[in-house]
Amino acid sequence: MTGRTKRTKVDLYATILEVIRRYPEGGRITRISYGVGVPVDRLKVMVEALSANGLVRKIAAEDEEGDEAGVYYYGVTNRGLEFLEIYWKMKGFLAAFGD
Amino acid sequence: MPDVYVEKGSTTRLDNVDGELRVGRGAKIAAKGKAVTVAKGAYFEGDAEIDCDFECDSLTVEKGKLIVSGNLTVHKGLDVAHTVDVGGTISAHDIDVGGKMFARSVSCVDSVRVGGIVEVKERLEAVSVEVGGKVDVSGAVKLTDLSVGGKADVGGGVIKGHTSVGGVFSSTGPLEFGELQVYGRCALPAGSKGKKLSTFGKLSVEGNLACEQVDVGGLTTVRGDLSSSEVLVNGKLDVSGSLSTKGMLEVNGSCEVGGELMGADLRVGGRFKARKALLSNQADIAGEVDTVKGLKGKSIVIRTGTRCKGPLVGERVELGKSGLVLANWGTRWAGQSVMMRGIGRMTDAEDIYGADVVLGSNGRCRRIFAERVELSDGCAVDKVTYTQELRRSTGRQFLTHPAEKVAVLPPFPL
Repeated sequence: MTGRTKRTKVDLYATILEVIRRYPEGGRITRISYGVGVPVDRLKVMVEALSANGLVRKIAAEDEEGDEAGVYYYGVTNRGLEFLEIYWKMKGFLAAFGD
Repeated sequence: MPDVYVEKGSTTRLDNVDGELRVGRGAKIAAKGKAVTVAKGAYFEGDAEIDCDFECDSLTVEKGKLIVSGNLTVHKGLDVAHTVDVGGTISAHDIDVGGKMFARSVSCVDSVRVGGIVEVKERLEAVSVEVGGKVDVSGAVKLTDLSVGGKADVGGGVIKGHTSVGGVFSSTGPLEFGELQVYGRCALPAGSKGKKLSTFGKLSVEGNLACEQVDVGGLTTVRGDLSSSEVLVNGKLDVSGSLSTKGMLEVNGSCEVGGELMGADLRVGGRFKARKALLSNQADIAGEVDTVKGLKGKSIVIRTGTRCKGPLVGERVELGKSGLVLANWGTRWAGQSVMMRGIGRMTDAEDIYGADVVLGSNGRCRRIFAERVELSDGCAVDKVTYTQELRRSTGRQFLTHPAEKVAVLPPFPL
């Protein structure tokens, strides 16, 4: 995940999902960025892409009066967990082939 | 309002704080005595350095990096947005770090959650550890559950609950585990033991392994003895020592055992090789079997198209009789593949010893020593030696030497 070789886009997506899944209550974008090791502006684009594909759930935080506070939390959907399982299984296949 | 506020960028010497402590960005804290103790919560606005032992009720770092040169003791929660780097031991009730956590050792009453990386030079103790990226613990671990997204390296210890690692898991010291699930590569040292081990990519064990259940996909190498109640291999299993199972050994692919196999049931769809195989119940083999000293079981079923090297010894031995019936594992791709390859091929074996021996159509073997022998159409045998009955089908069989009825059979091997 954090090796010297450059992470591919798919590796990055998997890392993002792995970090977000640690926050079942939903994680803030800054906190996720520290875990992934990617600046917030770059991460936002990727999280939006994951959200658009149904892998990440975007939850709007509400203020005390029940209105949107402009703050979002992110959580992994079942489809996101499915992506991770397939990703790691594929990595496992490649490891068995010696890659 | 905090009881004590440390201005940003300042260096302050503190003793005991009777209430709350708030620290500005870039501040440095040192102790008047040996340590700083805060009765309530400590709140850090950004990067900060503590040049002593630090104890508080709860600790929050809003952003940046907190560096503590001594021990860090937090009675409740330790919540760090980015990074915490502790030269000594972190002791806390629960730990939540967004980015990275570095420490000499960590002792946590409840759970540890880190988004990125955990590096611990000595021991790590906690109930559950959840890490998004990588965990590197040089010393032993004492955990209930471990879940890591990327890579986990531990120095041995105990993980008594569930361990789940997405990429790579390795332990340098003997590990006692409950349920270990690794999707990528897994490396264990000699003397590891656990309840259930399941890997999907590559597993290598540098010595003996004892486990209740082993479920391996991909490539598995055990440089020692493997003992398990049940072993399921979808791929390749290579055991340099002996393999002992209490229940079933099922191999869909290939299995090589340098020593001997001792178990109850053996089911192979592919290739099986061992010096000797001793089974208390049934062997059901489709593909290739190579046992130097032989294969012994209560019942041995060799499917059509299978090639056997080494003697076969059983109460009942069927060779190529019911070749296209591949029991409940015919639905698996490996079983189907073996079945397809078996069609139209001769079933081939060396010497067969048993009470009842059935040689199916197009079955071929060297010698048969049995009480009762049944030969089907098109089978070929060098010599048949029996004591009670020889049944031959109406078609042709090819016997190099005439069948011989004797009073007593020679002693069976194994």
